[in-house]
This record gives sequence, structure tokens and C-alpha cells, in this order.
Amino acid sequence: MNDESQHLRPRRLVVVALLHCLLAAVACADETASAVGPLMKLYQSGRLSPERQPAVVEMICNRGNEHDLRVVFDKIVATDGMAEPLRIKAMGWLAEAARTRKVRPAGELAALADLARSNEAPLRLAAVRLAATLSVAGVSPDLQKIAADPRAPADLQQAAIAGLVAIGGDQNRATLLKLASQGPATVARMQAVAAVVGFDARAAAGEAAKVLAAASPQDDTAVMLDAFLDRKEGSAVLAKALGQVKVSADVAKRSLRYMYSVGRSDAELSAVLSAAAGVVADPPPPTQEEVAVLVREVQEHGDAARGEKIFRRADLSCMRCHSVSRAGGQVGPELSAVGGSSPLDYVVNSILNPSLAVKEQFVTRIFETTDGRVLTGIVIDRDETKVRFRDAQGKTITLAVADIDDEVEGKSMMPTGLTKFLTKGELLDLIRFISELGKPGPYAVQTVPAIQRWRVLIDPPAELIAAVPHLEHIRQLVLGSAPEAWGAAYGQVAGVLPLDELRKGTRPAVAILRGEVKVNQGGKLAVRVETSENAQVWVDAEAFESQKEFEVSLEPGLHQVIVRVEISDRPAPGLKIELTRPAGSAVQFEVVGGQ
Amino acid sequence: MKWTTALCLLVLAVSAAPARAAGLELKKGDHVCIIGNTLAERMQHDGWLETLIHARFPQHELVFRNLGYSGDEIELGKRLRSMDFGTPDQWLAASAPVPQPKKLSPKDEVAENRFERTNTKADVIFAFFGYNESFAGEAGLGKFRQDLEAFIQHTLSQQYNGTSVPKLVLFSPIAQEPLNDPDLPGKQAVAAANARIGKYAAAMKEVAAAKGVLFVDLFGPTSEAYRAQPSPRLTINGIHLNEAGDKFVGMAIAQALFGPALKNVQPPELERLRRAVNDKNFYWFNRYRTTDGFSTYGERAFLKFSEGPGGYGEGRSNYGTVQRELEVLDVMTANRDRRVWAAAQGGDLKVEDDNLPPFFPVISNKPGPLEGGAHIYLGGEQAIEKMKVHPGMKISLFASEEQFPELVNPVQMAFDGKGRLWVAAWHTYPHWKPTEPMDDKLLILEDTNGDGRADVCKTFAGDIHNPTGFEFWNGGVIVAQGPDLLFLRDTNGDDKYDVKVRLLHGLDTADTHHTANSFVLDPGGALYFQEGTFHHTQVESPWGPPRRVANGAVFRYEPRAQKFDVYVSFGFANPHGHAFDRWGQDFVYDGTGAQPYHAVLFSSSVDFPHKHAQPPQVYKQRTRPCSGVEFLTSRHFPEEFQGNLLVNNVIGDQGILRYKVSDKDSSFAAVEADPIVMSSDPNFRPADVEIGPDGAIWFTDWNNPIIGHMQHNLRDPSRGRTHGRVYRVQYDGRELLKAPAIAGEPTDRLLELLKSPEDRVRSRARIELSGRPTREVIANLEKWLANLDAGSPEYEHQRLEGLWLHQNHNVVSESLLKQVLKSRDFRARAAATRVLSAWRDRVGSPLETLQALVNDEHPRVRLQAIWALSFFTGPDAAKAGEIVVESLVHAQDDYLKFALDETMKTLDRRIKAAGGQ
Repeated sequence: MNDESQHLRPRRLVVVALLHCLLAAVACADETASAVGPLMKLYQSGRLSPERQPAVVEMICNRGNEHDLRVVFDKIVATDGMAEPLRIKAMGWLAEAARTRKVRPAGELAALADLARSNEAPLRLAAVRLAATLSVAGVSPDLQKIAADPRAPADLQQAAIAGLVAIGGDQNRATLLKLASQGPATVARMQAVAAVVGFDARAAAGEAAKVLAAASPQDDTAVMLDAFLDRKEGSAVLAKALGQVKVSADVAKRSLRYMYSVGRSDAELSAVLSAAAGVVADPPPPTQEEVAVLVREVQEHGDAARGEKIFRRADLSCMRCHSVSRAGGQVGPELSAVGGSSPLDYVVNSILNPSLAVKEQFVTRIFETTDGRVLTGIVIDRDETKVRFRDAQGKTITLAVADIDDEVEGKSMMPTGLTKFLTKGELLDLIRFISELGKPGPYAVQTVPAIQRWRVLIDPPAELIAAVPHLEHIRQLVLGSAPEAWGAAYGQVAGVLPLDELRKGTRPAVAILRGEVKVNQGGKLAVRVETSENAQVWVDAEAFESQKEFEVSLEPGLHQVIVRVEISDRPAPGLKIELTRPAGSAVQFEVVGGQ
Repeated sequence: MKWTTALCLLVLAVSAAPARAAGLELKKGDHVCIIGNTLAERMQHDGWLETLIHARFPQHELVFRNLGYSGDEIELGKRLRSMDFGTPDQWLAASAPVPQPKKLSPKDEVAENRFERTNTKADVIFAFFGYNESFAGEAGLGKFRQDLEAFIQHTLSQQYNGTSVPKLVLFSPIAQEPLNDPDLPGKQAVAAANARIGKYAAAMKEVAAAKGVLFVDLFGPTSEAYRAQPSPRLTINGIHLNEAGDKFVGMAIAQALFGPALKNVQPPELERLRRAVNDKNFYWFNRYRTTDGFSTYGERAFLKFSEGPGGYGEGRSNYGTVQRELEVLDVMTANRDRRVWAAAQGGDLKVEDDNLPPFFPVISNKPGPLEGGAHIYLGGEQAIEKMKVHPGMKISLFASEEQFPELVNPVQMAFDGKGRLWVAAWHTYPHWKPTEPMDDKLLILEDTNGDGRADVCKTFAGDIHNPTGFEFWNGGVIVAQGPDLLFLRDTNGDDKYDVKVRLLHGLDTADTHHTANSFVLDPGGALYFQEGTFHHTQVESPWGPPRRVANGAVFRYEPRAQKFDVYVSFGFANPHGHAFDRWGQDFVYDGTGAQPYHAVLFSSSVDFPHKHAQPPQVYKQRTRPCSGVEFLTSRHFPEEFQGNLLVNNVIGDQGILRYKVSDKDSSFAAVEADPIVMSSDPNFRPADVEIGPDGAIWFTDWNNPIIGHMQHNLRDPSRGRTHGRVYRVQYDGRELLKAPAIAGEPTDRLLELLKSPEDRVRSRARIELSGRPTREVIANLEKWLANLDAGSPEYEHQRLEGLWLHQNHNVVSESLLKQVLKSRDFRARAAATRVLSAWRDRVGSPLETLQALVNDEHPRVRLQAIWALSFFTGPDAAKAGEIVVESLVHAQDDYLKFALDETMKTLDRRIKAAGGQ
């Protein structure tokens, strides 16, 4: 740095400040200092290559004041202001700024309407979302049209509905009420009901009750239920409306389980759904004597093997939050060693009275927002503008501090009501299973790594089912498939994947499975396949077909172990794949777990 | 003339001066409560003020209770405490309800008033404030006056003793002492500080006069005392009194309040009285500042446990158990008040403590299978059979409690310059129980015959408490004794400490599992330690206003300059584990979840009460929790192990995990490799790990069936207090390294050790050098640097070591810094950027240098420069903000983005606070 630059700097500052004000097209006098002055300077300096621009624009959106955001907005709506991908992203950042910092571009924003009519789907979606967040009134007619259009893509429709809620007004609300009250129990209708909750909870509850009364047990009503659960006293309003209709036992059960699985057990809703489902209402937490009795009964009658099956039942949602042998949900504690370190009645209480004592990293906060929502989660971090927390479904939620009306410490996110779907015997088995985890024996922490978290191809194409496919099909249809095409399945503690669980429902008798191995240091890896069924194995695009033990050389990186298995009708069909390092190999690897 | 004589004369001079406040009248049996900041807190340890007043009023049988608290200010919001510590009013009135009575167990027998026996009930209040407030300078004076007025008004409207308004005496802060120490604030800085403090002292005097409250000026007398020749040295750091200072200030106060003494008490008698006072204060301090407060009166005090096998239940709560211990301490303190009175009256009293309320027995909720609920423990050798060690390695027992019963609960360890292993043994875990000996230890284990087993165990310190961490420095050892940080030193070579200095105060101890731990020195000589959630820490220093932090932090302390800072303020659950690599990059672990973080990402400056956001992790951990970490650099192990990160894990997996670390973008990534050791013994708890002088991996095993703080009563008898092991892992078939000679070696030979490839060898050489005269070290270092081989592949690192050693001795070398900032190795440039940050107040145009560094070709250097720019304040904050965004001209990654966001947040806040200027 030479002396000259020191003299130059103040002058440069003045120029930039002037430039900034001109760009923002406002008077300097009434403007508070912008935190992003230097960023704006950089953005305008011409020093940024196109690939460096996104980081700067993002930071301006994250930190700038309304005038800074206006500069970005103008670039977005100008036809040649920004490259297309940046334009889409920048609209997302502006929406985020409005949501979490309550800062929106200064001035008139109607220019967004043109983009909201774009023929480019991604651009249009981003524009509709931004218009919704900024409540740009001029786009209402477009949003009404999209919301009512059954052929509109689901995400666009959802964005349009959100926009109608945000902009409000009689006409928009009427549109939403109409959508909420018409047609079958489609996702769009449920979204509309969810939207109506925001301004007329009682009307929404009436429609929701009708939807639930008409729903089949296969319908996913989560989006609608969430809207009531997230609203202050929303679940009580819904409960009241449900009292006026007849909901089938299975739909009631499904709704009840859903509520529990998101960490809630609101009394009124629980009561009305329990009655419809034909199950008992929520029992109070057990007394010490009852715990002692349970402990004795678990020791006498509990069966860990049966308990493991119960733990894995989808309707109980245990594995949505917890993992064992590193496979499963990531919201609650990993349970592989829990029985080894926790006394039995600690386990009993953790299941039946989970809020008795909460370890510091699982303490929750409940946020009540100014618009009447109630949200619960574990705080990740916070500053003066926003709080980030993880909710019971593992989602990260960002809430503007300005939107928080009240905040209190919450209870454990472990649901208490789910156990009532269990018979007494099943409960004893479940507790026994948990208490055995990590103890020496069949539920000890696994020492030989096996694939625990599997991906299951949800709708496998005929080429993979009809016969053993050739490598090109593996490449295209397995390795080349989209992540959304796969569901999750988890091995048991001892590493066996119970294939009969995959045989249920509409799944074909042939399953395509995929496990992942992360190789940290290259070398030979030994694979051992243990199964009662006909199975073929590939590692990446290398075929080993029906070999039961083989070695494969792997480079550092992520690798796929692919299995095609024909599931027979024999009892308890299973599959286990163990991975070990053969003698002399330098390989270092981890089997990928998680959700 | 000896300075003590000079001091006495000075005190006489003070007493003769007209500045004397109107006298204070004490009544027989008065309770005097001392409140205020560290000046007040430290008075209970040296005891002169109390001693001198008792000596003046031997028949008055006064009761003193010191409620001083590090970092306190008049404003209540600036008196941070952990949950339900008790408010200042509750303490002064000796009246506080059970915080959460509904959560008590039917079995709990508790007093309605938990302060019933504290004997505070203030008749007289001595209030020591003003020093911390003075950092607000001229601009803060108005608010200070208002706060002071409000405080006086509030205090004089209370009846803490239940019958009358207290007598209040305000004390001004002492002046800052100019010390002839190049590492402490210099003459000019001290003069500026005193101009500032003097204004606050004067404001106090005015407010006191206006409100008709007694006021004692300590600023004037101390200012005068500092001018005496030879200089007396009354403080440890310019602001906190040493024993001589405590005596001087005690005398000054007694003179000011009561005039010249009528009777001259002889020094031996005075000393006997002072010992009685200090003994009383020992019990009081441990009552008022009881450790594990969060489980004693805070949230976890109200956990109730089953009696007999189980978990939580309807048995006694923590509160019901340990409140009784506090009552016992109250009674023990009161018993010692009587001894103080006896001593003041010229007699003595043997304290019997036969009037203590009984403790409540605790029945374990996790008894072992043996007779009486005892647990099964494997022997030290036998436990090896349960360990699976990395192929090619072997494990051996170095020491266990079987041979040395004092080796229990080894929480941290370190090798000294003589190659001897020191271990902190935490016998009182989870904290001291009154009536039992306070006997936590620092042990020295030696293998004198070279057979690989310890044969000598010496007790360096046998009377410390909760030694959650320690590190060697300057010929002694710095050890945690929450809420204090101690310096212990042996000056006569008998391997027992004979010097003890309380260096720092105010480190919270709300949960001793969360208290100052994982002590580690960085290559530049700063000491780090960390604390977990629930904690609320306030620490004073002569360099700036008190550092405050709540709910999770890593601290940075420069022992030479006595600078103290919050290094990381982040919402940790409970950090455990902190290690520096060869190039000074450090990783910090949140112990509870074992999340690893690259520290540069969240150690940029952030102003209280703000905290950092969650940075990206180094890797995704698969098991928890972590108790300690270490980088493995040792030629004893094959090449593939060099630079591996060793991670202790104590529940999910019990063993020492191993990770290979590599550069990733501007930061690091790590992947797991085969662990060093895994055990199937459920008691196995590897607490600390360190590479020994022989190049082997050494670790301690806490060896305990239960380790959870929350799952069992604090006093559960199953908490093991009888076991502890040290093991060593070697690579089979490879020679151990020859331990380098360090202790007592000539300085030039120690400098050669800075070329060692072993991190721990270089670190131990630096520690040895920390005790050598700076002039000698730097003179030798200049020669060493001049003779380095510029063609060596190690040259860049060696020159960096030279820079770091300058930093160790707090000697700024701008020319060397400039050279290393231009090193061809980006790792050296990044490290030098960190040094630049530490020296930013003492080198020319640091911002311009950083401008070049945010434009460095390597992202690591840019990352470090972004970090460094966060430390600028005042008008420089805006300039730093201008510069830091230039990093956006270069390639970005997640880490740079995160770090930039954090720095900009801090700078924005400062710019906004300055009024958008």
C-alpha cells in the first residue's frame, strides 16, 4: 500500500456514496447509513467477474437497507440486468430479506407482475414467490388464476396461494375460501384450507373437517394439519369442528399419529381424534410406583426381538427421529448405546414422560409469532434479526425476531401419545428392546460395519424388475436416477434388512436397493452378502451379480452398493451386507448412515 | 528504607489528611456485608480489612460476609449470575425462597428460606464499585451518577436486618498501579486510566456527599502510595491487590473510617487473627460461590432420582441433598466467626463443629452388582484385555490407583520439561463436600528406572479444588480452580508448590462438568480454556472493561500480559477439546455432541451479548461425546499417522478415534480412519490424550461406571472416586523417540528444538523458554533466525516459530512479521495474519496490511484476514468494513462466506452503535 492510495481513499468514498445515492434514487439526507456501502461500491466497481456477482448480491440482500435492495430489484426486473440463474436466486434472497429482516425494496414493486407472467417456469415461480412475500397487490389477478388452475404445477400453486394470503383483501380471501371449500381432498384444496387458517381459522376448520371426513387413509393431510398445529389455539378450533363430522377410524388414527410424530399432543384434538379412532385418551405420566411395576414387567415379559419390530413400525414414527446403528432420523438422540448407559426406568420415563429431564442439547423453545403461529424447536443460533431452530421433523426454520411475540422454554419434542397405539405387551417389548441396545449380546453396538441405511427405488422400471438388468440399465436407471425416486429403509440393529417390510403395500416383489460407502483412503474392500433370497449385487457400475463374497478395489469418494433382490414368500426374508477391510488392504471407509 | 516502612508512614500520612470521611459507628454484633467487584472479592482471601477492623473493635463481635463478585457493576444488569444464584437483595437480607418448590420431592426436608443461616442480614454495607464502570469514560459519567443515586436510594429504603436501614459506605476504586513491567499497560496508558478512574472516584464522592452517605476515597491514597520509592508493588496486574496491597488498603480504610488506632496490636497477634479470618472466609467463599450451582439451586437442582436401581424417581432431589451441605457451610462459617472474636480478644477457640446439621444420605440409582451396591472395576492391567488397539500398536499401563491411590479421576495431564507426567486428580468430584478434606491434586508421576511403569508419585498440590484443567507456564503451572484461575509455583525445588497467586476471578462454575477445561497453549503463548452452557462469566483485566459471556465460550488468556478475552462466544452445549496444528490452526469441539469446528470460523470478534452463528463443521461426527483431542505428530509412528487428529469419545464409543485431516477450500475436512483404541469395558472413559516425550500416545482413563451429571444425584455414591489410570500406546517394532532434554537446557539448545517435527516438543521448549528472561531469549533468537538455512524445506516454518516466540515473549518484531506475511507458504502467511491481529495496536498501518491479505492468492489467508478485520473498533470498524468486502472479488466457498458474514455482523453493529458514522 503506497502513500498515494491513502490520499485517494476518502475521495473514492465520496464518489461511491454519491453513486450509491443516485442509484437508489433517493435523497441522502433522510437515509440512515447502509451497512453495505462497501459492498455496493464493489458491486458497481466492475471488479467483479460474473461468477463473483452472486456472493455479492446475496450479501447485499442479506444486509442492505431498503434502498440497497431496490438497486437489486431494479436489476432483476430490467431485461438485461442480471444473468438468468442469478436473477432467480436474487428473487429468493429478496424474499428472504423481507421474511427474516423485514426489509423490502423501496418504492413501487408492480414491475414484478411481468416476471410473474413469464413463460420460463423457474423464473415465473421465483417471481410469484417474491410477489407473495412482498404482497405486491398488482399481481393478485395472476395469483388468483394460478391458484384456481388445476393444471398449474404444485409449487407454483402453493406460491400463488401464499401470495393471496399475504396480499389479503376481500377478493383474494374469497378466492381462497372458494378453493378451500370445493372439490376432492386434493393437495391444492388442503393448501387452500391451510391458507384460510391464517385469517379465518373457524371457516378453515369447518372445511378441514369436511376434507378429513371425505379423506381416505392414504391421503397425506400433513400440510393442512400443520397449519392448525402451528396456529395459536388452532388445534382446539379444528377439534371443535371435527366434533361435528364423522371421520373414519383410520383417518383419525393417521391424523393422530401425525400430530404425535411432530412432537405435539394437544389435549382437545387428541381427545376428538382418539374417540374417532377408538383408542383411549392420553394417559397421565406414570407415577414412580407404576414405573417400578413396568420395570418389573419388562424384565419378566419384555421381548427385545419383538420390540425391535415395533420400534421399526412406520406408524410409531420412532425412526423418523431416532437412529440405531447410525441409520434413521437425526432429530432425537442416536440410540445404539442407550441401554448400556441408562437404567431401565430411565428408559421407561424417557418414553412415557420424556419431559422429566431434557439434556442440554435437546432443550426446546416455543415461539409465538405476532401473526398467531406457535412454533417449537431446538435453537441452532440467533442474532438480533433472526432465530434459527430445528423442528421436530428435522427442518431448519428461520424466524424473524420482529415476528416473535413471546418465547418460552418448551418440553421435549419426543411425543408422548404414540405409545397408546400399543398393547401393553407391545409396550413391554419396545422398552425391552431399547434397554438392550448397547448391552453385550445381539443388540450390542455393531463392530463389523454393515449397510444399515438403504435407499429403495420407489417405482422401479420394468427393465430392472423383469430380469437381471445389464450394466447399461444399472448406469441409466439406478446410478442415473433422481434422488427423489428413492425412499429409505433401515437395517435392524444386527444389520439385517427385513425384506418382508418391503413386500407390503403396492411394492413389487422385486426390490432395487442401494447402500452408500464413503471411501477415505483407496484400497480393496471385502463385501459379504448374506441373504435368504435371490439377489444380485453391483458396486457402482461393476457387476458381481450373485457372488456372496468378493473384493472390490475402490478409489476415495462415495460409492454405491446396488442390490436387486427377488423377495419370495418364505418367512422372514432378510438381506445383510457386511463390508470389511481384507488383510493387507489400505482401505479406510465409512458406511453412510443417517436418514 | 524498606517499602513496608514507607507504607506505614504513608498510611499515617493518609490518616492525618483532612480527606477522612466522617466516622462510621459500629455497634456490637453488627453484620458487615462487603459488595462490589474483584477489589472486594479478593479481600476475603487476604483478609486484612476484616482483621484490622476486628482488631479495633475486639469486643464488638462483628460478622463479616464478603459478597464481592468479579466484574460486578452498580447496574444490576451487569452482575451476571447463573440461574437462581440469588439476587443481591436476597443475599443482603439473608432471605430467599426455594426457587422451584413445586418440584421438590416429598422426601426433601428443606428450609423455606435457603439463606436462613448465611448471617448476612446487613447492618452495614461496604460497597466497592466504579472501576469497571469507569471504562465508559466521560460519556458514561452521567449514567454512573444516576445508577449510583438509584442504588443509594434503593439500599437506604431496605431493612436487610429486618429492623433498620443499613449504614452504607461507598468506596472509590483504587488507582491503577504503574508497574515497571513491559508486558502490562505502560506509563501513558496507566496515566490515561487514572485520569478516567479519578473522574469516577470524584463523581462517587459528589454523589455520596449529596446523598449524605459515607464515602472513602481509595483513589488518592493508592495514587500516592504508588509514587513511593522504592516502588511498593501493591497489585498483581495494576488493578487487583496483592497481599501487601490488601494490607495497605485495609489500613487506609480503617484509618479513614475510624481514625488513628487507639491500641497498637502486635504483628504476631494480628497475623493470628488474620489466619482465623481467612479460615472463616474459606468456608464462606465455598458457601457463597458453591460450585455446581445449576444443580444446587438452578434448574437441575430439582431433578429427583429413584432410590435404588432406576433413573428419575421420587427420591431426594439434588436440591434436597446439597442445600444441606450449604447449611453445613453456613454453620461452619458461623462457628469460625466465634473463633475470630476470640482471637480478636486475645484468646483462641478450638472449633468443634459439633453443631452441624446431618447430611442426607443418598441411595444410588445405579448401584453395582456387588455387595452393598459396589460396582465391578477391572484392574489396570486386566482392563487392557477389553481394549482393541489399532493393528500394529500395543498398549501398556503406566500408572493406576492400585499402586498410587491418589491417582483418581485424572481429568487432564501434561508432560513437564523434565519429561515427567503431571496429572490433575479430581478426588472431590463433582465438587467438594464440606467436612471432608478439600484434596484435589496435581500429581507428578515419574518412571525413574525406565521400565515403562511409574514408580514415583509426588503431590505437587494436594489442597486444590475442581482442577478441571492446567498448563505449565513460566516455571510454574496455571490451574483451574473455578471460579478462580491459579498460578502455582515451586521455588525451592521440593516439587511442592510454595507460591499461589489467584490470577483471574469470575469463571462460572454453575456446572463443574462445564467449567474451565481443555487447557491448551497456542504457539504464540496464549492460554485457552472453555466452558459450557448455563454458565455466566465475568472477568476483569487491566486492559479493558470486564469480559462477560453467557452460555458457552472459549477463553483466551495471555498470562504474560494478563490480557483476557472471550475467544469464541457460541451456544455450545459443553465444549471439550481444543487443539492447534503445526501451523497454528485450531479445532474446537462441542463435547456433548462431539461436533468439530475450525476455530477461525467462529472466533472472530463479537460483542457481548451477541454470539456467533453455527459454522460448518470439519466433519460429521458419528458418535458422541468428546472429552479431549490431540494432533498426532511423532516420528515414532509411521508417516500415515502424522497430523492425524485423535478424538477421545466416552459414551457412544469408548475409545480414541482417529481422523485424517486435509485442506478443503479455505478450511479443513477430516475423514475417519481406524481408531487408536476401543474398549468394551463400560467403565473406560479416556479423558485426556497427549503425545509424550517418547513419541507414544499417552492417555488417562477416568474409569468410572457413571459419568452423567444429570442422570444421577450429585452425591450418588456410585460416582467413582477411587480409580484412575494412565496408559501408553506404542507402535510395535518401532523405536520410541529419545526424550529431548528441555528443563534447564541453555537457551540456544532450546531454540534448536523449535525445529523438531513433533508439535509437543516445540510446545514444551516454548514453555521452558517462557520462564527465561525475555532479553536473553530474544537475543539468542535473533542469532538463531539469522543462521537458519533459507534453502531448507522447513525454513518457512522455522521462521514462523521465530515469530511465535516473539509473541510468546510479547516482543513485537514488525520486520519479522512482515517477512512471514510474505512467506511462500500460505500456512505461514495465515499464521502470521493471526500474529498481526494480536499486535494490531503496536504495528504500523495494520488495516493496510490486512487489505493486502484479504486479497491473498490463498483462501486460507483470506479467511484469516477476514477474521482479523473483525477486531477493529471505533472509526477503524468502518475502514475494516470497507476492506473486508474486497475478499468477495476472489473465489468463494462456504467457510469464507460464513466468516465474512460473521465479521460484517460485528462491524455493522459497531458502526451502528457509533451512530451510523
